[in-house]
Amino acid sequence: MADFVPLVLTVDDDPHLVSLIEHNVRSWGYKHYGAAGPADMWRQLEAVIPSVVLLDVVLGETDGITLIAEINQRFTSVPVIVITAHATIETAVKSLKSGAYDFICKPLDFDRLHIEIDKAVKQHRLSLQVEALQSATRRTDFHGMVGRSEEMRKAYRLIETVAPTGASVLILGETGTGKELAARAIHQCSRRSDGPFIAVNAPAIPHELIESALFGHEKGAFTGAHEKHIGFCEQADGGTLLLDEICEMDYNVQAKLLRFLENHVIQRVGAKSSKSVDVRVIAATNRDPAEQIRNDKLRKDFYYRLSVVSIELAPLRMRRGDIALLARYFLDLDSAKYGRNMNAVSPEAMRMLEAYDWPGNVRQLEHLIDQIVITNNAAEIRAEMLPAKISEALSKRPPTEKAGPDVTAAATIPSIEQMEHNLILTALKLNSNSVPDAARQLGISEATLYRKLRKYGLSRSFVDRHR
Amino acid sequence: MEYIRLMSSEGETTDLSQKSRLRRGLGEDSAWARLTAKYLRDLPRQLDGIRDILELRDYGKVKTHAHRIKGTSGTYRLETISRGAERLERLAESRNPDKIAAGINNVKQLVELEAARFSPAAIPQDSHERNQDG
Repeated sequence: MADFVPLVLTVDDDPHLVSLIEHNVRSWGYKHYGAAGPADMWRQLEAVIPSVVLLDVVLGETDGITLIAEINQRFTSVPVIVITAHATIETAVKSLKSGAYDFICKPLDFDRLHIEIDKAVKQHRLSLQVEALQSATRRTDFHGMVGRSEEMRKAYRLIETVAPTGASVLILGETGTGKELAARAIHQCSRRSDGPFIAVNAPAIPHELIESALFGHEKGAFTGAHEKHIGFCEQADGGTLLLDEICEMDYNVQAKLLRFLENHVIQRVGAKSSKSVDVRVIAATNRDPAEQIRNDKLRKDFYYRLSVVSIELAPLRMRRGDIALLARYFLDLDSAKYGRNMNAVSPEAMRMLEAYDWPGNVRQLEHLIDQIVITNNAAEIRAEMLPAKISEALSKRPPTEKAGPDVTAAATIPSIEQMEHNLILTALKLNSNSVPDAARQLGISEATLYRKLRKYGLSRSFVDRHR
Repeated sequence: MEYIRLMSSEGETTDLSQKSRLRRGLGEDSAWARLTAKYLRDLPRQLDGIRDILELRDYGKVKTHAHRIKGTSGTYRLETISRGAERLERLAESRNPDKIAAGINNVKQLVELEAARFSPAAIPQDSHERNQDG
């Protein structure tokens, strides 16, 4: 598995110097391109973006210093090292003021050049990582929650509405749907955002320790209590406490938490006095609360106290239109994280990802992308990189389902026009309302899709927004 | 130890250890040595070009070309040529054609001296380079 090899572009009008630099740069393990002048340089930059540009500031009639700013403007992350025989303070100052990363005098000292190129390559890699993270953040729709489907928009609206109220919230959703992210979003949108956010995963705490973990204990309260312990409820004072997987909590602990929810007072195990704390409680579960109540796994009074507001997060298979967005989001993050240059998903691989049911939801997709980025060094995710269960999902689906979940509903619609109308809506939904992408998926031109949108009276909502 | 004595147009002399030059330029990196030989073969053409520019009395261009030779030859570790080119660069500022012509001749002589040290026979080949060439 070959690693990404940084590229050095040398711009100098003396081909003999370019050859010598190339010889050295290649011996340091980098790729090298040479350009004889500005025109050649721009041609090279159109084809490939280097990690570093070595630029002579005297290029025939061109003042190379003016080129520094132009390169910086068009390729913000690419460091420019100026190489010049004009070793004057004025040239150095002008170069650095114009945005040069460094200034090296001719005759070149290759040991120094090696060090400077290494440093510049590292900076370029960091800049790319920052750009990727910023790009991923820009595409994050809502406090780290990614998705533009109607289901997610509904959840965002509800979070925004409920967050400032301070009410208890119960978040429902299958495993991997992002319940903790939703809880964090509530915390971030609330007046408590400067306070702590404490997440407690109940099943991860041994049964006999849960009470002490939640409420704390005094030194010597029980065997093994060698130190005083501040419980999660107290740690969350002034902030938010997420109780995840509440149905896995002991019935008695639920009763104690109910009391805490009502009076916001805690008493550490073994303590003589109690203490009042200001905590907002958010609970989450991947189970059906009604069924859990029927099975005596969840106290009814505790449930009612917690579910002042309920937010249900849709499983990924119910919002397939978000799969592409999420896949690209995780790909950007992982490429930056692992220093990879993988930045696309092939159309075939994307169709497979969108056809799969994702029982582990967003977390499963995240882990898959993570694994692919770690184990492959390619420019894009291709179909053959996907596990068999995912690549087979597309072939197992009935033809009408391949495009997405909503198409099945169209099967009952009698007219072809209605079918077309629904197909267009589905394609738009699957492509986050992007008309060009939807047109591509439908196999028609963008202009045709716009014409059909107007025909079905959808033009106002899509044409205006996307043209 | 054999020394090479070079005399510049201004009468200064430079002593260089041939052994160390060969070790640096040839023994350690034959690819570098071959690039150097190629550069040295091209330099007379560049100097003839400067002579042509001098005929046109374009002293600015003479200076630019001399400047380029100074930087590149210095990077190739051809210090004597680099210093000769630096002198030529200064002479271009004098705008004296005779002096500049003498400066060009001086650099040419320095190039010839260096070229003799970088003849193909003097450049060892790495085994993999021999294979590639063959």
